Amino acid sequence: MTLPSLLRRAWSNLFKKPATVQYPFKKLIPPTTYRGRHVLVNERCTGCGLCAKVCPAFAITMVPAEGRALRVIDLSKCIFCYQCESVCPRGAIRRGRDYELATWRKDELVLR
Amino acid sequence: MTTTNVIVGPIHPALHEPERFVFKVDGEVVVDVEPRIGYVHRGIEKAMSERTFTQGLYLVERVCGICNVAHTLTAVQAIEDAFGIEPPKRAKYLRTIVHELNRIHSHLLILGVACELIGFDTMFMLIWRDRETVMDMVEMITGNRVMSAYNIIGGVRRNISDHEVSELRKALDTITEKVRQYREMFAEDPTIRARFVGVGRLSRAKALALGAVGPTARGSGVKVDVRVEEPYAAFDEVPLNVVVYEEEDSWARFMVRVDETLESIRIVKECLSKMPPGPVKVPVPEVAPRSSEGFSVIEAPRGELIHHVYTREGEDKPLRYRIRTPTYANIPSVCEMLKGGYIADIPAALVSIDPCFSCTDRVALVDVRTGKKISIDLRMLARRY
Repeated sequence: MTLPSLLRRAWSNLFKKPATVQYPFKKLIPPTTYRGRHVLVNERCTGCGLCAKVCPAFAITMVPAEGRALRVIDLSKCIFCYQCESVCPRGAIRRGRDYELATWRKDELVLR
Repeated sequence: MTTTNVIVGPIHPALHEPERFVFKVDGEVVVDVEPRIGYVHRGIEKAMSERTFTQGLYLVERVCGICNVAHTLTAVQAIEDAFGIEPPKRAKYLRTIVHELNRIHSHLLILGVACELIGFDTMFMLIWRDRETVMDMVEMITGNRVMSAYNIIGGVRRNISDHEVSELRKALDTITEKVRQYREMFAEDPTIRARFVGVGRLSRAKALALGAVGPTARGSGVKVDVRVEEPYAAFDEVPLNVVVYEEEDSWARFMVRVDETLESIRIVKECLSKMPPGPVKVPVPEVAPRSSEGFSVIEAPRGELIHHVYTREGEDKPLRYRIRTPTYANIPSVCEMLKGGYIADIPAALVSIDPCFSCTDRVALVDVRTGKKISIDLRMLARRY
């Protein structure tokens, strides 16, 4: 019987740095393409409602604000497909890279 | 001969998803198996016909998280077939690249899980560590590790940059070396051979008779691969070697997966070099331009995956959507594999088809008093529920 080649690798791994990252102390930076918490640019929003219509998770609602309709994203429903970003004609919803979305209060998950 | 019933599931440590199997055993030997599927039925086919085509894509993506690219790819191809539109060439290559990356990570995942199930945790952790390289690449190209949301009707979401191409090439080179080592280990390691060789036998004749698909069929010597028989995306221009093993056991099925991973890496590299420039998407009408049906079949990591869609002119929702997943086709084969084996070999045989039960689950109406199965036609169902 041959010596399992795994044994050699397991032994060499003992002296290597761990592959995992100590998360809360060391944070990974996601790539620029990452779909995280949306960045909303309210000045650019015309209230057309395309994003609310196309959202597959029904997470976007149009609410009246300052005499017009404004989209509100509920992150607790959001599936981060970014269909709203691709459909927005004016770039009022933009890509964000923030992935730390945990919070104590539910209303903090509603992006206005 | 008297047999005892051993019930595995719905909640059981050996299965990662809720599914119930009743094993009729004589001593240590399994004589008969009765599968009972349907614990995680989610009604996706019905929900699909209540969403627009674009929204539906994100729903089919969630049929199976592991092979999500396979599901969206089949869905967009089926819908494109119904709409009568042709995606650009570059989009087809990008689809193939992400699809094959998806296959690499799915195969590495099941190889790791298989090692864990036989108690070989070192190998499990090594494989999963290297799988993370692929996940990072998928994240870089599509925007998320798992739920890629990459394929859309008429193309793909975003283009790939030169920097990303070079990063991807670098990552593929490291992963190739690692997978070659795992191939050697799977082929020679005494622990793996002792646990998988001769376990879960499925003869070639049985695999054909029971309609096995994917690596399950290829491990039994059946040369069947949708990528070769009905080339989709860029597979008509990228040649492919079908990996077939003749050993007919669990070990052969895993060897098929290891070799396919290497083959997939080669395909991704070839796609990267052959990829033509040009647009990645074409404009698509929001509503169905014609009353038609669309059909698409692809080779998902677990086997052939079929999506079938009916559209009606002027409507933005599909009339009817049908999905047939590979594990569903492999359930009769896995029952055959388990017969004649030992109880202790059940996990080793079951994991070798790479089961994905949430894809598999269907609903059957059973009369509780008599135990009879009832079938109800669609009109009756729509009226009652």
